[in-house]
Amino acid sequence: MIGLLVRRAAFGVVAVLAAASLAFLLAWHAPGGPVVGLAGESGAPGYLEEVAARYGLDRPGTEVWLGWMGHLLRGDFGTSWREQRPVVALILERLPLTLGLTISAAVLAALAGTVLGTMAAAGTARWPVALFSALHALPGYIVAQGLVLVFALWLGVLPVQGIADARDPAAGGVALLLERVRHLVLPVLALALHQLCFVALLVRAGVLAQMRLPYVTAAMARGRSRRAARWRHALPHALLPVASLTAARIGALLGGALVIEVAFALPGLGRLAVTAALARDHPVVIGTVVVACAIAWAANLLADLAAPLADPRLRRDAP
Amino acid sequence: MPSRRLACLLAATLLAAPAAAQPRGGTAVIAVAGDPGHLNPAISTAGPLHAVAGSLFNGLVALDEAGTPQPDLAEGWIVAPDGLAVTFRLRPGVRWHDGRPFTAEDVQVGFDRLLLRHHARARAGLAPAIAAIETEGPLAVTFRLRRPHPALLRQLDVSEAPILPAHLFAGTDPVTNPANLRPVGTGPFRFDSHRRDDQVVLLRNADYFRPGLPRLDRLVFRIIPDANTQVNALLAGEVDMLARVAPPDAARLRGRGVTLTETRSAAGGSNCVMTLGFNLDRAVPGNAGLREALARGLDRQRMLDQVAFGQGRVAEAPIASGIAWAHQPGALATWSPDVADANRRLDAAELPRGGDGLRASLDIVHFPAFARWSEILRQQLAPLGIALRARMMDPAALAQTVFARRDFDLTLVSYCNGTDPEIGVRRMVHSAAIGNVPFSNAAGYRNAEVDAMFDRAASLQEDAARGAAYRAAQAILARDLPYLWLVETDFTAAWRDSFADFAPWTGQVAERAWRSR
Repeated sequence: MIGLLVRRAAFGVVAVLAAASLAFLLAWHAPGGPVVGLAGESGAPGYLEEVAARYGLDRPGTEVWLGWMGHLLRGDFGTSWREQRPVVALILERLPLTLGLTISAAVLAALAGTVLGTMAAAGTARWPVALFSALHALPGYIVAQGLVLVFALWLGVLPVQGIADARDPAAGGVALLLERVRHLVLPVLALALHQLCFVALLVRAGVLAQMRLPYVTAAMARGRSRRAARWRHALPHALLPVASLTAARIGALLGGALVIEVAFALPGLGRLAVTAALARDHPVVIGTVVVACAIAWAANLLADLAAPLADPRLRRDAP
Repeated sequence: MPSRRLACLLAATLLAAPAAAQPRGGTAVIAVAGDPGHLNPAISTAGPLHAVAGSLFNGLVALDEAGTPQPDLAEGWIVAPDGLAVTFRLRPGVRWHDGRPFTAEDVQVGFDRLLLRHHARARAGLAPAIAAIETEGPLAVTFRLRRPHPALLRQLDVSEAPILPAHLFAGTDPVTNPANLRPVGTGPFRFDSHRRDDQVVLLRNADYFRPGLPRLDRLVFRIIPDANTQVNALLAGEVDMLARVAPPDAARLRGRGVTLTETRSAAGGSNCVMTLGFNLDRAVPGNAGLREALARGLDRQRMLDQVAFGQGRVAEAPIASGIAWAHQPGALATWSPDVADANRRLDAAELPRGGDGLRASLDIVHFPAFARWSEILRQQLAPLGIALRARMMDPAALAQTVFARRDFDLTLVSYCNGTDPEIGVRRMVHSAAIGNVPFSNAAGYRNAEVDAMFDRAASLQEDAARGAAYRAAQAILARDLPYLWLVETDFTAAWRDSFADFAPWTGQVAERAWRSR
């Protein structure tokens, strides 16, 4: 167990550094380097060079890259060029919202997808499959616009954007909690829908496959109703792929959160990355890539560690 | 002098009178598209920063809707007879938000250490003309000029030259100064808080030097990057004002409890003209026959109707009609649309149609936001046998591709003329402005006559004489066509009907705004 952890951790560090290097390579060679962006609309002779020297951008790319990777290994993410604040502080400000959004969406997708998928496995109707497939194919931005149109503009029950009421924000306590929940309902729904439909299709197919196996027939022969056999016997066996899928798709959800944060004007990690990329604020771009990779890696590790707990067949000491 | 003092007094009375009549209090929520980053408007020209910082600071002068200089931190000014010195008399009794008095030293330090070094437009447009800035006691400051610089007053408002406190910036590195994140100004609102990519909150400055102003208690700038979300938030009542609305969205807002105001200027720029730039260093766009054919082949009225939804005017001349004293009406009148003539000119320019009917294939570099413009250009150029390939880029990439590497055939740029041709037109036509400076002379146009006329206009003092020089230059520009001036685009601001008196043409958008309920 310890050996596995060490191997996985070492692999994680290498993967994160590789991703950071790739991000550096893209950032360094993107047209419109940081110097023009930092110098502003104009620049007198010598000014661009002055700015380049101030941020150490007048050195060769390999040298800058080695320097940055060395700092990353020591846990030093550097300072934002645009805001002159530590990158770690910028990321920590944004992380709770994005993690909350992503984890809520993942849990909602897993729970609701499982229930809906199992229910869809009951009948012979084809329309649930068609519905899940169609919703699954909708881009996140379109889903967000549709939800806003119905729940915010037509029904007027939920806000269009933001995490708080700009005119009179809740001071704290239960009011603050309610305000946050009200503002995050639509973003979480919009982010979760794609994966929710995917889980529902997966669970439906899995339950139907289990229902044809002899042990389910045996259960029903003992007097279990068809419904009880589906929920109590078939479903648990169809659930394993849901757990590993949920973990594996945390990275994709983080990417989806970027679109949702823009659509709902939420101050999360995705917005930080977009703003930084447009401003060519490379330390922040690379910092967000490193954090996103680390989260995806940690989610996968958790799933791998949890799998043997859920399925005895995967335990090392299993007979 | 007495007459000027009288005028100021009169203006003060006129402005003070309605101030008492309007209701006080309330919060206005204003949507802006991007996070300002920091809030030091003297070291950056970024649009989102100035949209917020304009309410925190003042310039020496303010510009009214027509672009005419009005007193702000300066009560009045005297231009020396030879035009080589301008002395500003500063407003007494003005205090910074931290309680310290505002003095001439703030102006001197602000220009010497911040604006002329770090504010891109002040550095490019003002620094070459200013020899020295001298204080004369605590409430007078003199700008000594290398040559007469008649555009000076129009370059001293809160967007072009905001004044920052010397006691926080003298002797520091302005780029890393903590006051950039907790700004201290003289403006109608003072800083309260800033949550990145979320919102900036400003509170009423009770000690503001204009009595009775501002009327609102609180300004919240909500950062909403998506234009569609901005419109939805306004319709849902979560936001009270949109500083900038795209033409199709304005159509959606009409008649829904929203006041729409079209202006020629906004916090980021004024008198903006959507312009097609030709890379004169390349053979095909450098061919005068091709440029003339494009001028004849394009239907600019249709662009105004279909892309700008009628918000603006077809450009009549290289200098925008908003600078009336320099604008040459009808300068581009010879280039009315005529596809047959355009095709004849292309034949004459030795650009015959190939087997596939194509005469030339050109690339066009622009921001993604201008996609509808390049699409209508593509449609209108097809009958001429000219194919367009759009290459869309973000601002940093476009700056490098067009201005540093000069890797383009055509480019679409919204050139904002500003309130004086010196601010926004010289940079696009003067040969000294060719090079690695974004939004300078994209065409790479060199014409000694035009250079001389712009230099002459810059050294004269009277608008009439300057206007004559600019009009002569426009005749040459309309003949040479280094650019095709397509449409003068207006800005549209929108606010809920429960608010009034926003000033979307300036950085100080909410100084006079009030809420009726």
